[in-house]
Amino acid sequence: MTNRSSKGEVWQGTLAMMVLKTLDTMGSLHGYGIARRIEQVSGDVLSVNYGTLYPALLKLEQEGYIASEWGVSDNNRKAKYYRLTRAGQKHLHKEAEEWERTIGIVARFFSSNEVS
Amino acid sequence: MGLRTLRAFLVRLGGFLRRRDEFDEELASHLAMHVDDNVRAGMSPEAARRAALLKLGGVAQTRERYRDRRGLPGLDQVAQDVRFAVRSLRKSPGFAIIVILVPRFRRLAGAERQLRADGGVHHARDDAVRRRAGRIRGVGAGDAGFFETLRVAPALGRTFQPGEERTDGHIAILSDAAWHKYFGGRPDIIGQTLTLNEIAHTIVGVMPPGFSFRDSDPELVYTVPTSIW
Repeated sequence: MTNRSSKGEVWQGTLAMMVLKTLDTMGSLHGYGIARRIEQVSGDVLSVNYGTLYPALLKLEQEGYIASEWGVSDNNRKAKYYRLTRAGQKHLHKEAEEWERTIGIVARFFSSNEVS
Repeated sequence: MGLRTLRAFLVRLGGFLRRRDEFDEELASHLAMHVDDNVRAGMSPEAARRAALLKLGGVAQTRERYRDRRGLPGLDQVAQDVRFAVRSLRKSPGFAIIVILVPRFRRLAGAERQLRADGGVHHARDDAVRRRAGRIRGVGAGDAGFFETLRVAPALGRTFQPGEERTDGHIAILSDAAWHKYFGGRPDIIGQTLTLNEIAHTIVGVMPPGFSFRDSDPELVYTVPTSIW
């Protein structure tokens, strides 16, 4: 596959949005919890290495959409917890709107194709 | 290379190592939680650990991807800095040697800490395993460059090969003292197995007598950095 990098970028963008949505729904959560939650919600359709999540978390933190601090898990494990920032909330909102608009356009395109 | 440049380089190196340590801690915590869940789901501790590592996609690979994103100098970059430092510091070679050894030494220290901490958590339930782990006084993590830097050829077998630290391979090199203490100096040692942290490591080499890294324990066993996770 020649355009692996562009496919990768799309995947990274999608993953980032899923991370933001997860933190929006769940509140503060560690990387492992985020990975499990995304897998659960996607109905195990996303068979992906958990490791790919961490560069995405780092990027989101560098962009200021999420913040992190060390805490203790339910099972008394030290873990780094991530939470959505205000900027992250706004970004998620904007992304969700854009996503819906895109879906709308694609859906119209396909249905008009069916007619002809 | 003025003092200011030198200091900037050392600060950068220090920051790089610290951040790496923090991500290592985050990865360790991730794996610990996943192993907990797997054990609760009925897996044996060893299977739970293997499954968690598999799902993560490898510790070394994850670290590498993380480093790429961070835009930090990879080890190649550090090596380049060191080569530059060596060229610039011909007049005071002692300092250049310290610069080369600092990151390697940090990795050694970190690996020993990791083994002890890990040993405490995971071996507590299993006396037999704890005894076995207790026999090994210290484990150091090195790579091909580590042995190359020290310029010592193995007495038996080989040292690590370039890139081997990224393969998650379970291989070990014994110091002469460890060879005698744990294996009675048996001559057919290459290819034998040594269990570290419940993981079987294949012994690929033995270092000659007198080989030890600065002030480190002469009874060290060496593995690649990714192996003891």
